[in-house]
Amino acid sequence: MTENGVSCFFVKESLPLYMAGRLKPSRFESIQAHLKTCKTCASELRSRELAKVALEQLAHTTCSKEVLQFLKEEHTFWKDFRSKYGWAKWSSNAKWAAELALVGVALAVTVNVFPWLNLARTFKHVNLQREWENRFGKSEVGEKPVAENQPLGQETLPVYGPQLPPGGLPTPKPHPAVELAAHDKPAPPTNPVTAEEEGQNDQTPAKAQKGFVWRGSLRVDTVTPELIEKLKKQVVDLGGTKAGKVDLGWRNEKNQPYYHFIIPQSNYDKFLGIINTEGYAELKKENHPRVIKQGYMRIIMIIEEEP
Amino acid sequence: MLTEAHYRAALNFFYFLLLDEGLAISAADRVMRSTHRLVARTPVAKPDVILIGQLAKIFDSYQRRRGKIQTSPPRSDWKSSDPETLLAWKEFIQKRGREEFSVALTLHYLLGFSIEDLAEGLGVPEGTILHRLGRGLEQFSTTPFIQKKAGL
Repeated sequence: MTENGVSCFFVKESLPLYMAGRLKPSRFESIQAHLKTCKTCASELRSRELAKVALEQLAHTTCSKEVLQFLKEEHTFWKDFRSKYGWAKWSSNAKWAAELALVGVALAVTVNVFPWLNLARTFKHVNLQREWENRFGKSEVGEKPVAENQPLGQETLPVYGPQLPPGGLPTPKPHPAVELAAHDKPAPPTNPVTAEEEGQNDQTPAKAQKGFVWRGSLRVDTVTPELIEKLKKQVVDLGGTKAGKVDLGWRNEKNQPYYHFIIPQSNYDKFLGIINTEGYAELKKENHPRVIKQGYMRIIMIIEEEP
Repeated sequence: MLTEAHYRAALNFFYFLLLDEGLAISAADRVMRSTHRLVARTPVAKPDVILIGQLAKIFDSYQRRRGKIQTSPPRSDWKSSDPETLLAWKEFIQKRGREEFSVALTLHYLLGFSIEDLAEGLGVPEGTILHRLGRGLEQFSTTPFIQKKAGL
């Protein structure tokens, strides 16, 4: 509908500018004239005026001073956190629980971390010293002062108990039943042992069967000097040493190469692997009166040809 | 220099648009902190313009979190002289209109910022602001509350 030269659509679109007073005077007058005659557009303007008034009334809404004050204060995360969840905000039950937990943690730390053992050792040490002095008088060695320029931790510690003789402890005599590694005591060349003696030594019934020996044979197609030397070299490479009085590869009365040696227990599997590549090996563990060092094995093996 | 009116404007802006007092306070806090920094950095710029820019920016990050209509909060930090109009406004925000229209209405009619400051703060021409105000007012005038007042 067009009245006074402007359409209702144009008036409706121009209402914001009309209400804001931003229209040219000529356009303003034409719209004003249109609004006087067009009830629809006048009603539209009235609704908008009412809406504007309602919003302007709503603008009087105010917030409380506390909120304003809160907003003006400079607050950080920790400040807010403390004000919300600080100790003063805790209930009495929660405070009691926290205090109990703290005491429990302190006790646990004290019991587990404090060096009680060192304290007990020191206490025991002092008591032993007193007891010794009460019985035997003050030890001169114990009173020896520590040199000033001696590095810390290397001072001479006091010695309690009976003093050693001036020459030190006498060399202990080896027990006949205990045999250490054969290389510790080389075989005397002037008294060679025959195969019979060697065999007798090994087969002597022992009174106390405390040790072990792995005894057996390696069966090969042909025994060659190269094989004998090779096995000898392999045994030495694996840390083996001869245990008896004859050399490795010594030939017995049946002309069989004879190996009597000690090797580290950790190399036993390697040794088995080597001899199994040469032929069929069979070693059995047997009791033996002689005891050797911990971590070592004594092996007696012959090489024989397949029938 | 920021005045108490700026703090009130920030609080009311989010109160009217987020419809949640707690969110309004936290959002206003963020806005005022960033506005403080910006005003200190650029003393030549108008604080009103900086505040409008920050309000629009922070509002975008908060608008998804706004709650439902609070018709009778147990304890309110806001006091309105016209509760009926406030309820009508909340319904309008909840149900009708595009956010850019309601933001323009809030900033201009409820908080009293000028159209020039709005245009500069939001980074749009004044004609756009006038258009948004006209459309927003048109939508708000079609609410039952205003229609009833107009006798339609």
